[in-house]
Amino acid sequence: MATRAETKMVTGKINGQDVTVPAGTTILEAARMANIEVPNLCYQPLMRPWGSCRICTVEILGKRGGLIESCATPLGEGMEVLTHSEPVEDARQFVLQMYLIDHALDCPTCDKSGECYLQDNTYLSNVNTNPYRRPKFAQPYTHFSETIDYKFDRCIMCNRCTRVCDEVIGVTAIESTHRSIEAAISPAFGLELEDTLCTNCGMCIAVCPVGALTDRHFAHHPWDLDSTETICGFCDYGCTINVESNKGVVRRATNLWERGTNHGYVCEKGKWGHEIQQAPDRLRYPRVNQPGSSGYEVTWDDALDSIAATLQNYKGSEFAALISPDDTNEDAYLAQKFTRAVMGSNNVDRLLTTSQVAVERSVRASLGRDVGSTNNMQEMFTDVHAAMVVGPDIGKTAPVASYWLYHSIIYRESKIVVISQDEYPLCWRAQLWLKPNEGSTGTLLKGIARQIIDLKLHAEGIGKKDLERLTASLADYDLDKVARSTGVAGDKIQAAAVLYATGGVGLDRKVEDEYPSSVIFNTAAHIGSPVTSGTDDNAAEITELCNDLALLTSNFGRAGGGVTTPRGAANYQGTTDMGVHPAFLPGGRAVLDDTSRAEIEAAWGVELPTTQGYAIDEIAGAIEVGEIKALYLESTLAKQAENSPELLTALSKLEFLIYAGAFESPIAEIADVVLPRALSLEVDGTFTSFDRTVQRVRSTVPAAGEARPTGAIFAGIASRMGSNMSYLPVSAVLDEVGSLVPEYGGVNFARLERDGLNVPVSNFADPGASILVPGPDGLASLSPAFVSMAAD
Amino acid sequence: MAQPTSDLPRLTSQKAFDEFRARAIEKWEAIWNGKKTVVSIGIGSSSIPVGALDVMAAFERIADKENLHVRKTGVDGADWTDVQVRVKRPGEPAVVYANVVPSDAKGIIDGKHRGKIIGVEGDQPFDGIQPLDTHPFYKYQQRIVLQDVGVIDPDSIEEAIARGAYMGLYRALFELTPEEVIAEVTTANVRGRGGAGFPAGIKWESGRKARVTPKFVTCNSHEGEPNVYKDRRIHEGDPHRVLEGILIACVAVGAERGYNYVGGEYPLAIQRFRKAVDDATALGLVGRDMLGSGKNVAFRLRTGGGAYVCGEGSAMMYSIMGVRGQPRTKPPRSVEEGLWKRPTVANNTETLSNMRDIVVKGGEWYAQFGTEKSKGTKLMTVQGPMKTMGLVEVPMGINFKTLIDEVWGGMRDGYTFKGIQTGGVSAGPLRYEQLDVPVDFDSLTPLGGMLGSGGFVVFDETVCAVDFARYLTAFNRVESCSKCVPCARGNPALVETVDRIRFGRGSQRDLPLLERTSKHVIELSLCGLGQVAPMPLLGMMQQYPEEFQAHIDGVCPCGVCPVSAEATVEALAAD
Ligand SMILES: Cc1cc2nc3c(=O)[nH]c(=O)nc-3n(C[C@H](O)[C@H](O)[C@H](O)COP(=O)(O)O)c2cc1C
Ligand code: SF4
Ligand code: SF4
Ligand code: SF4
Ligand code: SF4
Ligand code: FES
Repeated sequence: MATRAETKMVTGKINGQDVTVPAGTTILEAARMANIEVPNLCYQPLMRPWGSCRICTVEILGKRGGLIESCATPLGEGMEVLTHSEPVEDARQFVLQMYLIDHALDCPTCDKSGECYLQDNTYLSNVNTNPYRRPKFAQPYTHFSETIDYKFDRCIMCNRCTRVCDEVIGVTAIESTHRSIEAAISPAFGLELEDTLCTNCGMCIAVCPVGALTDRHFAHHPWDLDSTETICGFCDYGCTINVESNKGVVRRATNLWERGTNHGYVCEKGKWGHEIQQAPDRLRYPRVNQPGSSGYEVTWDDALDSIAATLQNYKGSEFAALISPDDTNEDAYLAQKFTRAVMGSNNVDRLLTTSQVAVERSVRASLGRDVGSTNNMQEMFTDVHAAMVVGPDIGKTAPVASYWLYHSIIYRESKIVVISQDEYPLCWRAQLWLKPNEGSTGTLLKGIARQIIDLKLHAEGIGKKDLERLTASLADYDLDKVARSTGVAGDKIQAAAVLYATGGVGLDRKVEDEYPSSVIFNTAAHIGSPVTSGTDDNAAEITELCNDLALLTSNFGRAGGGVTTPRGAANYQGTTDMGVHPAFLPGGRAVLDDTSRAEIEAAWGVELPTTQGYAIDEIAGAIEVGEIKALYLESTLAKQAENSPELLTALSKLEFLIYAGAFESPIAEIADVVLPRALSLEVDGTFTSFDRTVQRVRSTVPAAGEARPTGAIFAGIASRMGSNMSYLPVSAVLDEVGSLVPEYGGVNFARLERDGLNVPVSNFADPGASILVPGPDGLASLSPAFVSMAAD
Repeated sequence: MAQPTSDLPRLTSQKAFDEFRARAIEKWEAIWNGKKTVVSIGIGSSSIPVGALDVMAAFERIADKENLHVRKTGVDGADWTDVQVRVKRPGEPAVVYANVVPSDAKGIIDGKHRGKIIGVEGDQPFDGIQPLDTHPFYKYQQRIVLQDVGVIDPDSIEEAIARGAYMGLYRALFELTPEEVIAEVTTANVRGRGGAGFPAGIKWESGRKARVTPKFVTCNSHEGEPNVYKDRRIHEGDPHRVLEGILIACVAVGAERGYNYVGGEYPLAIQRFRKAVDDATALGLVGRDMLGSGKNVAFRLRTGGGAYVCGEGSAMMYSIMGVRGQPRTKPPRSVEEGLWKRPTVANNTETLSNMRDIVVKGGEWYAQFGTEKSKGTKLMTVQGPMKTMGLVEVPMGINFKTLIDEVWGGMRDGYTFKGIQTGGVSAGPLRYEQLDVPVDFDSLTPLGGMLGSGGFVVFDETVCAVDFARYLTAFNRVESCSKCVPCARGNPALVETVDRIRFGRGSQRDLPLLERTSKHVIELSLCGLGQVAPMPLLGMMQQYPEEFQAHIDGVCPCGVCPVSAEATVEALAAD
């Protein structure tokens, strides 16, 4: 957490023990800090106190004392609190008896049994009889949706579900209806849940302390599950999830509150995405296709032998590998190492969309290297108070980042400008929503930049050169013209400029010193994704301008500032850092740079090709003209290759195609060899999220069939081609990365066991960099000298 | 529906208001000094159901022929007189007729129906008729909030202004600083009329001192409590007084936004208040640059959806914001974080309706009424078999027996007083022997009663204490917002236990169980509703223990409870 203005501390006594906490800390949280557990049901970390269950009641001693709910009452100076006195226990007994009058008590068939707060508390408070007896007030089950069930008789009306949906997810898809004991949870406005804004994130189920909201896809006893903490493989936010399995089958993903960059919260994919692990169309066994006949399954040995034999003929630039940005760092590192060191080719790249490529190039051009975010998400979570959110619906493209925006609106009243063609809930909760005409987002951003300069709101610290360059490039973008071509009213454009440049303060209030920071979230990498609109926007231009805006207002290098550019695939940042790139070796060293190349050559003991390889958007062309004849092609969760018509057509021109996929695909029909690849749920390794957090991915279940991780496949081929590349132990691969890539120098499995690390982490004492600060001569010097913030 | 008065000028200066007011006074005088007989008919939610509109129509039909000026007013509170008609012939004081029906119209003008006369206006007898103010119902009243209710046409802003409306606002805008306004309110020591009795001056002071902006003022006119109908009557009879109170509060506190939250069940109150706001806005009394003073107050009327709990301050604010109306835990208090997390001063309608006179006549003047700790007057309403039932405004500290026996005229023939339920649904009943006490904020509490918002229910010997206790508890059970467990589930448990007793299935164990349950509900509930919900039941148990015992023993002394098996079936069917 960033250091703040000195906070006042108060000291109270809890159960006779002195506890000192920042003023405003609730008694319940103060007790937690002192390792005193106060029972609670409606309390949920990160959400506003609700005060409904009253089971957190404690006794305050003294004249003005009495029983009080500890979750909503701040600890006062000199306050004496008892958490388990007799009146308190008596009150808790009463509360539990009240619940149990109507509660279904169908524990034997309840999914929650074994991890139910009500069950636990009933046990803890030793409630065994109930003087209140009458027929239970019951209602039938309701199916809220294909995934969610609601059982009225178990609901304790703690409103954790409605609160999470409103305060964190930001969609308010469920609400409480009726009063008294008739009160119930139901989809908002009396609609069907699927007709509300429900994102199917399942967080309502996750926070439900009892078995009232249940996961319809789950049917198992919680106590009969093995759980593994890992990282979600669906996007580069990098959520920590807890995958629970039984006999090798994933049963559900649960949430580890207050853990990870996501503090436990996830989106629909984090919650239910694991189901693809058991999809019927998983590729399970290696397969060889012969011309004219359908494929037949072979053993791994046969498959690898035949690949190794064939690839001998395609050494050099005739070989290319397209690697999934969903692969772990270790897998990605071995993939590029194989391509370069064994095959002698720089034709290695990640499977990316046009927008992702455009954003990457644009970020490299303005920042000097490709980083997904200058500021890490933890820091965003605690410090953002003004934000500009540009591009396709962030709720779909980086869902948990959107959670923190909603959270910041509720807790810090942060001021937000949304610039998007998508209309989504953040647009309504934001201060301003600007909806530019198709294709004019870049123009709008130019208009905003121009307004910042016109209103003299640019930072004093901006270099003269940069200011001149920007002023010149914006000469044509006066307010009227921009308003006309974007369809956004001039005053709104101006207001957005003011809001962003003043950190949400506005012009009315004078600030001493400098304005507070503002962050930009740029989702341009998702332009063209099927779930959002605004397909013909220029991702490169948008990205460049976002960076210019931050430069113009000196927002780089500040807490709650910087630019965040989520890219999509789970390990986009990591695969890039690992050198899965035709122009860059591991650690962002340029292929064309002789010194860099020499370093890697020394480490690998081979000579490396000296020219850049073909990039993802050039490979189809190179195949068409016959320059690339053999291709190792991976599948991605986003079905990148399948969605690229040029690439699909080019594939038939290849002499040799290896398809390493997780699922059946049309490509598997035409490939010469088909290899079943493991999903991230089945592999060990690390991911680097867009905010540069390296986190530990753990194998949660055995891979489907004989599927293998990428690294194992490449190690297998390499050894058959006479090179020694080892995959196991995976930790050693990361150690090798650390020895080659300075930014990963302090990362290893042991450290990651505790928590993620924000690269750059140069050595084992380096705590990592939550914010990247540009160097003295503008942003160009951001690379390669990363400066890390002092840890706080 | 009343249309906004279309020809109202926009008053952009102090002088413009002075002139407008002078003209309004002239017009007002002209009504009373003209050559026509003025017939004023009290039209409000109590008189409309007994035919007030028809009575009005009857007079209008003969107006031309008889040279009448027929006008409507609000209902002055004497519900026992509905439909009330005041007839003022040129040069004579107005004669007040009670219980007028349409067919009386001609006769009244012809000087018949003298039996329906209850008095004349003014302090002199006329034509053998005693002044109205000597009638016990009026004698004890001290009308400040109600001074124009029953006098002016509530739909006429001109009549209101002629009678002094907006002079308090005028002073607050042009003659006093906000601090001075608050000082008057503090001197007046007016305590909140919404039930809790918190001093308004202190609340305003905290509101004024809050540094966060924008600030808000909300007027709590929800009045969802059963048996209370004072706030709605103020709206119906003198809506400008309410609006002015809110505006004064806004100016004093420094709030540029004011809200009035009215129970959605009161269409007439809403209609008349809305008209008042429209007219006041047209005149430039509300909105930007009020009367050219440079001060702004944006004003909104919000209506509730019918949940009693929405009268609780924080729940009301959620409801105004458009979310489910449920109380929230405190701190922070509403004056720190209310509407949209901004400082918000919330006062009851009656509290705010006193502000005009406090600002115009001074806090000292106001403080002369009432008792040491409860200053001013209080609106009080009653239900039950009383002779002269209705809404009255009496000085704080009036003797309870006087109130019941004289003001409300005692029991109707054939009814015997058994008890009086106090504090709406928030306290217990009192027996007759206990009534020799002053009625104010603090005196009833030690007896197990409460002034609350001044709503009383007198019940007679045919009312069973157990049954009545059940009714009052059931109200809270149904109205519990469901947020906190002790209230949401404790109240149903109370109702069921009482039902067990009512149905003759009670046992000796049930009485301590009721006490234990009540104790926890009171101690653990989140908001005022739950914290007092068991009080009526506890009060009944305390005052009429023998009746509870009798039910457990198998008899309902009043014969209303289904203690026996056959009765059970009937009662169940009746539910
Ligand atoms: C359940 C409940 C219902 C309430 N209903 C009302 C109401 O209808 N009108 C009202 O003025 N105050 C009501 N109150 C009291 C308000 O919370 C608040 O104290 C009052 O509006 C403050 O105004 P005052 O200080 O002028 O009395 C209610 C309180 C509770 C707990
Ligand atoms: S699944 Fe998510 S969005 Fe849908 S109701 Fe539950 S919390 Fe809300
Ligand atoms: S469904 Fe669960 S989370 Fe929601 S109110 Fe009921 S018990 Fe609480
Ligand atoms: S936000 Fe991304 S990382 Fe988090 S659960 Fe969703 S898909 Fe997974
Ligand atoms: S005490 Fe009753 S009305 Fe008040 S918050 Fe609790 S449940 Fe709601
Ligand atoms: S945890 Fe405090 S009231 Fe529920």
